[in-house]
Amino acid sequence: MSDQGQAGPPHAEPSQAGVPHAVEIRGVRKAFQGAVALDGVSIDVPDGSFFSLLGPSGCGKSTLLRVISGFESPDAGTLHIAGRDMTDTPPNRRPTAMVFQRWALFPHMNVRDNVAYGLRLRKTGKQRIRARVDELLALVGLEEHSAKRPSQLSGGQQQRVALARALAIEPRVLLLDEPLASLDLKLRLQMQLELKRIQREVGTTFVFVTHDQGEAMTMSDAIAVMKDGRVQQIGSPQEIYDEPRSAFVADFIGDTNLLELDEPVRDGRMTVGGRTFAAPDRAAAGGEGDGGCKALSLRYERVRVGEELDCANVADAAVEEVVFFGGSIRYRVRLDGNAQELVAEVPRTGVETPYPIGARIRVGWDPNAAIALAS
Amino acid sequence: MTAATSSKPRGRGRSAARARSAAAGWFLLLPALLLVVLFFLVPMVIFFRYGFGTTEDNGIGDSGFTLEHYKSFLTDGYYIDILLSTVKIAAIATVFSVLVSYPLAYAMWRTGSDWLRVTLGVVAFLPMLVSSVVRAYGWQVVLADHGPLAWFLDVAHISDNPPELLFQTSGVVIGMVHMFLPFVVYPVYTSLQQIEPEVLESSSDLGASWFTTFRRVTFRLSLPGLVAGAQICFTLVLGSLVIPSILGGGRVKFLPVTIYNDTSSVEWPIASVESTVLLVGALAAVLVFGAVSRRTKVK
Amino acid sequence: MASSSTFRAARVRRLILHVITALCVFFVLAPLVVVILNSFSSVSYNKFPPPGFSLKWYENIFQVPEFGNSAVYSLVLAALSTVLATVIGAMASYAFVRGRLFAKGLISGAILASLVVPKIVLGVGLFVFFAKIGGYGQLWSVVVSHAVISLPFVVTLVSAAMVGLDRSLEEASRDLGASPFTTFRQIVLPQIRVSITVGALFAFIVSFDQLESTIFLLKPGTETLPIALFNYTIKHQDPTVAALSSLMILFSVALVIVAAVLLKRGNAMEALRRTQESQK
Repeated sequence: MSDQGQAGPPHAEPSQAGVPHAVEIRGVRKAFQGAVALDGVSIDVPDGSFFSLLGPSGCGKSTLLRVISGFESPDAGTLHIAGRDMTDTPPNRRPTAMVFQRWALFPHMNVRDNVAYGLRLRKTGKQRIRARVDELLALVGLEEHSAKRPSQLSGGQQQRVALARALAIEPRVLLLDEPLASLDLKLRLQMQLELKRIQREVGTTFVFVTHDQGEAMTMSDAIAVMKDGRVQQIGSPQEIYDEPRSAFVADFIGDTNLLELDEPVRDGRMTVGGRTFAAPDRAAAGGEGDGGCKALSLRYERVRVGEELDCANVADAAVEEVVFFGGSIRYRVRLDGNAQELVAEVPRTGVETPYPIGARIRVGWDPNAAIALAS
Repeated sequence: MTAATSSKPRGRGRSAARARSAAAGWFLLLPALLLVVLFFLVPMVIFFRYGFGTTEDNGIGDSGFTLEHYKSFLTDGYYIDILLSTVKIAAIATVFSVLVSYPLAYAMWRTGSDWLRVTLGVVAFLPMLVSSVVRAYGWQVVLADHGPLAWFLDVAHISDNPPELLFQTSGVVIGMVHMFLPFVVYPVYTSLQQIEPEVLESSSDLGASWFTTFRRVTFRLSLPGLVAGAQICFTLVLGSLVIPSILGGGRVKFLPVTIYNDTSSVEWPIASVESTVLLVGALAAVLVFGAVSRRTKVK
Repeated sequence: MASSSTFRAARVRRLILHVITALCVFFVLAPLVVVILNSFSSVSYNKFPPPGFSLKWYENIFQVPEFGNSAVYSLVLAALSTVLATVIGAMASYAFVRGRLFAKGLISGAILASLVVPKIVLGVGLFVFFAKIGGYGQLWSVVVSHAVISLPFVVTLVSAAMVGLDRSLEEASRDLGASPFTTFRQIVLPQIRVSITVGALFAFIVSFDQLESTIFLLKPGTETLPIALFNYTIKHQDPTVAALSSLMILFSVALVIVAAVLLKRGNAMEALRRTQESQK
């Protein structure tokens, strides 16, 4: 299989670095009976990375994965895998392998035959198949279960078989379609770390589809956030978290207060709900994009609460709701004199008692803790 | 899969991929489609054409246009008699098939023992595996003058003058009920099986007696299967030849038998008319039963 | 007090149900048993109970050459039409369930329509057609006619089984490098084996027992077994027919056993039920 991916074809469009990207998607569109699923998607997946496609259901992430695997052909746009144009290549001739959402193990074959399936199709020698299957079963920790049928395995074990089966053919790109979604929480967290470990060990490019932002943050080298068939932002987990470019991304990744500006930033000052605050430097310098800054994202944990606050933006407020998390306390407060609400999440250092509902407090934040959003 | 693929213009390759997948579908379907069109639809159309053909040119009746054959069929008392008798037999046979099948299906459903369920299932299915001629012959023997039925009635001192069933409508109906029983048992069984036990329990819990529960709940919920079974039975009766020939002995008027005789004596136009009438009858039954079935569906 | 009468009522109901069931079973089996009893009768006329035991009717089967010839013809015919109907029926089912086809409903309607057409109408129509185009009386014309009749059974059974298949299994296979054909052979086929077996079995039975259409399609001199039996029954009344019928019942029972063995791994009851549903 790997021979298809490694040779550098003459017609490939090389990436800047010279090494072809594992996947290059350019302007891909796809509609189903008029409903647009992908609306001009362009993504580069770096070779050897753990790349996540993240978004709410219906955002087009699964469709994009099916375009990469070849089960859907795009209405427009191109797709290169390892530098070769694969836009019209049928799935069985692509150097990709998929781990399906419900794993799609062949029920009439045992674990060993499932894993060996792709190798047998490649007319690999019996000895080599045996060795390779053993190696993979060891990788996913299923040596003991090689003779069992899928129906005799637990969900977590089935998921490992699916992973081993896909890795067996040494794909250039491994595609994972929410493979953890049907596991229970504890197992899911365990499998996240496991997947990351396996990806590091085999070095294959993983493209991972999920709607769970925590999952994407935990495992990914890079994340593409999608909404309504478009890519909203691509970046490392930290970039996406710290510098969201849109209200959607800011809100989808982590918890944040969205502050809408009454009018454009002037002289480093901004007004929110009728009150004036210091604007973040980047918004003051002209903001993001052409339209200027219209809203801010302020993470819960960047809002400070107390009687004595030494930050530039400070306001009096009343506590409206208190949620006790143990390690932290979350307050919903209403600023005096206007309708603006803020949520603050305060780490709990000692054994202090939370403020009661109705308590008068002060809230504040560092101007640069807020992130200017383009939309 | 060569590098050449990538140099192709975008649009062409893509439509080619889609065309390939559609072509594969048509390729798989083609043999079945050819078979059905060539050896079912076309022959039927040609055949129905004979019902409108004039026999003047060559005596066969595949040219010209006339409604003469239809007119004579629909106005001749002889044919009307046959038609009425056919519908009557089909209706009675359907009713009795349901009456015999329902308890059998009910027993299959209600019995606690798997063994009995499978046995009843096989018993209900077995007749389908035995040639219709064999079954018709079997009933001929059973119903004959000195056959087992007469013997039984005599020995049991019920009657020493057995009822005449053979070569009568009643004999034909008995044979048909036997013939088409499995086609009613299984649909009824299937819809009974879909009733959730909680529904029955809650009915009796609310104070309904067995009979009330049966009448208002069980029977009502099994109606779709019953109607489906009745429809299959009715249409199959309309197409049967063996039973009315052997058990009717030429004395019971039945349209398929008439078609057989008319075809044998090369009366193709009238055979075509009779066949069309039979087909229309079968389709009408499908439509009527279909309409009833839609009304009985709960969901 | 009340509860004991309730239980008594339940017992009475069970008893009534058992009696009715027994009568139904008796009704189903009676003619078959009578045929077998009659085949050992010592007299040629119909008399019950038979006055004596004899095997002469079994010997007599071999005196009637039509029976042997027609049995061979029937088997060949059923085998050929079963293969034809099963192969193209399975292909069509796959196209129906997985293909993106235009006018799917219309095409499946056309394929299933022969179910509701009275078989005698189909027979006369095909007779006229083959007489016209010149295939009348030839084996191939009877084979395709039988395939038309058994095709709906195969298609409904097999597509019902395919609808239940998880599509992602086929995608997984394609994704791992299998061609569409390999995927069908290695992944789809093993999962629908039971339904295909039942479908083929059904096609065989339908073909073997088919008389209403077939009787028009054969030239005088060639006969299928049911037709030979039919003609003999119309002309003669002696228990030779009973003897041959007994052998055919035996054959059917053997067929059931073969089917049971074949279906041992599948759920036989489920398959039976699905077979029945396919007739709707």
